Amino acid sequence: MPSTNVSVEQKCPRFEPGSFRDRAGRVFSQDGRIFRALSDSATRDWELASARPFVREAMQAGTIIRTQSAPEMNTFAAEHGFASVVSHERIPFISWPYEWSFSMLREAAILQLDLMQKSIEDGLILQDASPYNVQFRGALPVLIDTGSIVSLKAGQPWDGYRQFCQLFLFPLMLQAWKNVDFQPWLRGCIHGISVPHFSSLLSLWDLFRAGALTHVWLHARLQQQSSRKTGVADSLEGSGFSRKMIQNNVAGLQKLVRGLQWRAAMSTWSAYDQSAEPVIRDSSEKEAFVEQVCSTQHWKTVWDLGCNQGRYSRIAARHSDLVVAQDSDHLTVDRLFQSLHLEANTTIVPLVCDLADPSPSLGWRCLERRSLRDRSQPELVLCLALIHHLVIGSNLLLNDVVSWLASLRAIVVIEFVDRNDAQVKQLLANRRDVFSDYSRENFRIQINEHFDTIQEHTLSSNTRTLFQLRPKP
Amino acid sequence: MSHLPMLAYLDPGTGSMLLQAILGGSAGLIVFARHVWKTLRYSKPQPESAAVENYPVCSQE
Repeated sequence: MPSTNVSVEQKCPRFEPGSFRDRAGRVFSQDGRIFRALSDSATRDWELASARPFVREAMQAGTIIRTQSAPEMNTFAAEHGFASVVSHERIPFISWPYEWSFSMLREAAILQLDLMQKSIEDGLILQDASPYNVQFRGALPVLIDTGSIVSLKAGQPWDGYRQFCQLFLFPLMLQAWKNVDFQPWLRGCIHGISVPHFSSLLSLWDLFRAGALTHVWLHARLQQQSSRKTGVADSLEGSGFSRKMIQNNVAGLQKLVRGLQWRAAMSTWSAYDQSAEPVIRDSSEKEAFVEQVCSTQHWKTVWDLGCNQGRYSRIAARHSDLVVAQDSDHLTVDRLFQSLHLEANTTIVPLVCDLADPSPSLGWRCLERRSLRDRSQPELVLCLALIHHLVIGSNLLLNDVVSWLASLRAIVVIEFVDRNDAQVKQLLANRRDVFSDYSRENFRIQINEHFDTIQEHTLSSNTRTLFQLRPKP
Repeated sequence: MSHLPMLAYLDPGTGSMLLQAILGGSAGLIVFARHVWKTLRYSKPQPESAAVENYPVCSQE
């Protein structure tokens, strides 16, 4: 089961509300530390796993979360029926697969399969295969669920295969084959895209693609035919099912996933940094302003809203522990992730996030997958060349956007773009101008109500002004 | 296909397990064939006496 981050540090140990599906291990936190309580059987599995070279090497390489025994919490664990406790390294920011780009989900899938292959060679197995068990330290994926590593029983198939298909393989295929964003599908159902549903989406032509006939079509047929059968696992074991067969399947999946490519050439914002004239003209001034604000202190968490290709996220990253770089444009975020992944960046986490429709709280009691706001508290927020898109593009009220920014209780760097700016004119070109609230005068009234202005700077284009704001107490 | 979610409590992934044998290479195909053979053999109607002999479901005392 995945562990989740906590935004509020508490003195008493508290079980994470999203960690309940695995009875053998539950995540809890105390004073900002993350622990996992283990049952008798899970304790034996972890003792076995942690002694194996594969797990030790993966923890050293950072592909499995660093974990150590935490006997000081055993009393708490015993009170709740658990046998032992381990503590995990804390991942600074928890993200969900429906906030990832295609390449992020693909890298997480590759990690899952690589760890599966290595674990089987070592007599272990990752019993489940959920992307919620993978998190990103910057742009590098890490498996956080040590509880999913168990000893491999002879003759037993891989329990997580269908889960892998529903939560990794089908969303990747949907994006690569159909150019349909997978995020709304994963946000719509935390169990992913079901086998029969995905099978229904494929055309006759799609069945000729690698993996479609077996992992999708045949999978759906077998599921339909076998839904009432019992004792299949025992029957397979008795028929000679072996670990080699799981390894062959995983090797095939590794080849398949590595071969899946999303070939989107261009999106609305993918060429923004290169093509928009005011952007090019003002960029060096903006960079200097952002650098000056960011360098005033070391920040724990920075949010870069509308990050585009991450130009300002990279500046902020030089002065912070974590930058959550958010943009609603999937392709732009995907390209940003690819470049950060190549650099092995461990500070910037890119997210596909529409501020006008952000990740809500989902799952059991709406506590299982918490909303973005519940998972992260920024100290600094960059909101550059964005407010005109929120007000004019997404029809949000200017006063609402400013009061929401103030509610984040962080220093805000915001760029106001005048009505006579070329980008605003373009936004208004094909729509009725009903945005009477969008004016520099009203913007000043709104920020004066919620913030103290630390500094402001009008850029050379004369249509854009940068503000550094501090929320009023 | 809409009936499948209702059967989910009966089927934790039976089809997925069988598919893993098929995807497990040539040896896996043999395993799958053996499983199918066993399934067909045991699902064949048997003479009453044999059924009682093979499946003593209750004993009258």
